[in-house]
Amino acid sequence: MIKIDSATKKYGALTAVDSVSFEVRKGEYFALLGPNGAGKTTIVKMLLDFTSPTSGRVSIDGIPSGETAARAGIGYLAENHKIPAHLSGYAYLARCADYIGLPRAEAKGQIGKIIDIVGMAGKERDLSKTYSKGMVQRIGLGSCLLGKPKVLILDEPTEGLDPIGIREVRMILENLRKDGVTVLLNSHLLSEVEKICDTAAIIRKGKLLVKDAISSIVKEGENLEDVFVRYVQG
Amino acid sequence: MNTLKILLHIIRHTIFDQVKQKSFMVIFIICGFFVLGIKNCYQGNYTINNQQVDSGIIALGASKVMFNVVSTLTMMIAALFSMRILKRERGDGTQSAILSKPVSRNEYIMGKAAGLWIVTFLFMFALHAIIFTIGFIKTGEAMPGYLFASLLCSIDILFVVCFVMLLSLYLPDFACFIIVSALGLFSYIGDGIYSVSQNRMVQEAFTGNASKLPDISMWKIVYLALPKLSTVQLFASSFISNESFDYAGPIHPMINIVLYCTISIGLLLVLFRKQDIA
Repeated sequence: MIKIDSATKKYGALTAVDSVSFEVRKGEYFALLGPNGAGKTTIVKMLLDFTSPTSGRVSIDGIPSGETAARAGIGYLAENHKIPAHLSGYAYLARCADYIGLPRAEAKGQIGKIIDIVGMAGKERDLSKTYSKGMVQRIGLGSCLLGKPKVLILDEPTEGLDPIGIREVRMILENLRKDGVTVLLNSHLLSEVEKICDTAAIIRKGKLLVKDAISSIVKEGENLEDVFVRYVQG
Repeated sequence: MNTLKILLHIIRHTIFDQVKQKSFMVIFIICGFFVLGIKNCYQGNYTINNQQVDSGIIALGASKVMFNVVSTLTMMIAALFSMRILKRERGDGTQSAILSKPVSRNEYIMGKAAGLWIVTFLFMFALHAIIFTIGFIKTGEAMPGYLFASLLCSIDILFVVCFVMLLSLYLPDFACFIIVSALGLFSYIGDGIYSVSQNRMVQEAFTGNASKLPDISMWKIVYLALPKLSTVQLFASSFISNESFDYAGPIHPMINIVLYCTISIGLLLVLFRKQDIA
């Protein structure tokens, strides 16, 4: 579903991503792990064509990421997701539905359901400037679910959420499994990643250190955090 | 989804976002009061050399002056709105939210530019319409060319919007504003010098005195190559009083501005495609 083939991204003398290759299969829950500045966000940016690789190929569902069609079935939640202050959560979701091309009636139905799913019922008409960080994050996650996407790219989806919110996000993602949605998760919350994802890739200084099923990487008596520290500290 | 539908969505949202800005409403209200202030120009009797001046002439003169003032003011406001739109949308997450959907960068930029152009044009048109209405109420005489002239001036606004958006990809807000203001100023000064140089009295003063004639060929080339913002305004205002428009340049000012708009939009699309989205 997602294919990154020898992708390299250089910013002048700095190599942010260094010949990284991996594949995420359909329906797989994939975690992209690494310390700050490892190149995770750059990989996400290449997937969304926010930046183009210096060399290599990036594709989604067989379509090169540079083509607009590649983003047709993607839901993306940015790190530090923001909503313009003058928009309500509902208005924001309606806008996102416009850009996906959902007909108005269908958009209305989907937005209603999504608001319930992300736990924003009753607050959806309030202006986003009155929202807490967690509420903004919930609406952001809701916007990813519009149009029933095939791929979710989530950059720190649990940021700003309290433990109950984090659990709710996990439940939402678990519920999407039966629909065959592919999830690429970029998170520092390793305990959650371990619970949600099937596969993980650890990146450091732009290089892919390991990519395997979490059950294979994590040895007995260890958890994902131990593995992460082991790889990152080298 | 087809391009036109996406464009219409982006345009609609851009207009809504712009109108929701506090600065937009404040500027519009200030400008509205300023324009309403001219209603006093139509009152009272004007006498020159013991002869009563026709109120229609006064109204025409005042309306024409206000037409040019409002058009110039709106160009500056267009620059103010355009200089920060891309940075603001980058900051509030709008840009990444839109571009993570199946929306191309060209559609995004075209939609933003068109939205800003429409909202600024409507701003100017509303002010022109107020002047037109005041003139009509006070004198009972309508100036049919007035609103058409406003439509023509919208091409200047399109240029300002596209050019400032282009500059804002690389320069700070203030620098964009200064550059486009300087360009406008050169256009006004250039038109002034050009019309003086075309004046028969000036030409006759230099006839037979070629050595005293300043060499303006270089200046002429620069003048003719610059965007004709002020000349378009003069051309548009000629429709208000049904005057003939005499312009001896090789390219009509409207074509000049259309060419500059095309170049600015083209560069904006190409250069924005090369930018990283935050």
